Amino acid sequence: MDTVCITHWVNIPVRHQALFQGRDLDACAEDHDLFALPGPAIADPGVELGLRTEPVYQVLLDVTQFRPEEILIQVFEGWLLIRAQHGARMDEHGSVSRSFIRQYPLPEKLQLAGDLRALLCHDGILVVESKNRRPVGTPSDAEEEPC
Amino acid sequence: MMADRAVPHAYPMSTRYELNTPSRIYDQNFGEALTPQDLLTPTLYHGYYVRPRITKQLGRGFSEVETESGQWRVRLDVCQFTPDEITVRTVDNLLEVIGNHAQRQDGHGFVSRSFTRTYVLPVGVDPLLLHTDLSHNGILCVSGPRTTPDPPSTHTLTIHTHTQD
Repeated sequence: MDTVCITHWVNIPVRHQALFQGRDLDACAEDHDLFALPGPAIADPGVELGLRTEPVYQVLLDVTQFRPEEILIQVFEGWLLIRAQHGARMDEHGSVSRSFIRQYPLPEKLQLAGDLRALLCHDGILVVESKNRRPVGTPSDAEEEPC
Repeated sequence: MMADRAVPHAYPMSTRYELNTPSRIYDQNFGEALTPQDLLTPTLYHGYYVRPRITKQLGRGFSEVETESGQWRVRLDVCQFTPDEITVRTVDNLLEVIGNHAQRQDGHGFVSRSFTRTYVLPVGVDPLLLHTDLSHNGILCVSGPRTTPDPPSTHTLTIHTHTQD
């Protein structure tokens, strides 16, 4: 098995390379489990890697600027609330603090927090999706897009 | 990607600090909702596969500090806020940009955001002479003249020689 190495002053081995091997990289972009940081959703045995299924409901959010402990996900009366807040921290141009709250309406069938799982990917994308999945391509009877 | 530090690299008003600070940084837009179509083919970045985003490919969401000899200029992308949601003020030698927008609807749901960003004015920039512009594409520009310290006035003394009689 030949492994890719990036040479940048020192050799950096490519991590988690086995997961990507022999797969079309374009198709990997939507497989969030490949990028997810370890957490309770990963330990969930209900999801197998490599199976071509997609969740019934999914929300993607860019949280590059925030740490995992600064993000709060709540389900409240049919709404999915995602809050993220960080206090003043130094960066290259001075100091910055940010906060935001996002609300998404949940579909009728997914009103409980137990129906959802959340992944935080190491490239800064937060994924909140339903636990029940359907094979790719099948139109669901209750198609509810977050819009 | 954006490592946070407890202290700046060097004293903020020194030459070394200005040389070590990149003039342009990105990823300043936050709380952006994505669709699966926004995720591009994974690429290798420091040994990890990461997915570039379309929203980050447009050169948006930057913060830029330019220190020329006669002028100091800050440009910050605040396209997520409207002009009345932005406050710019100076506190001593600090320039504070505060953005705050209440809950509003966008293509994905409801969102409210707030941020505070602080820049340190370098030596020679008068906070009272700063000028603020907001362009139609949402880029805030704060600029002001920067005076270089006057060269010390020199006066050459003539040397009187005394010939010994």
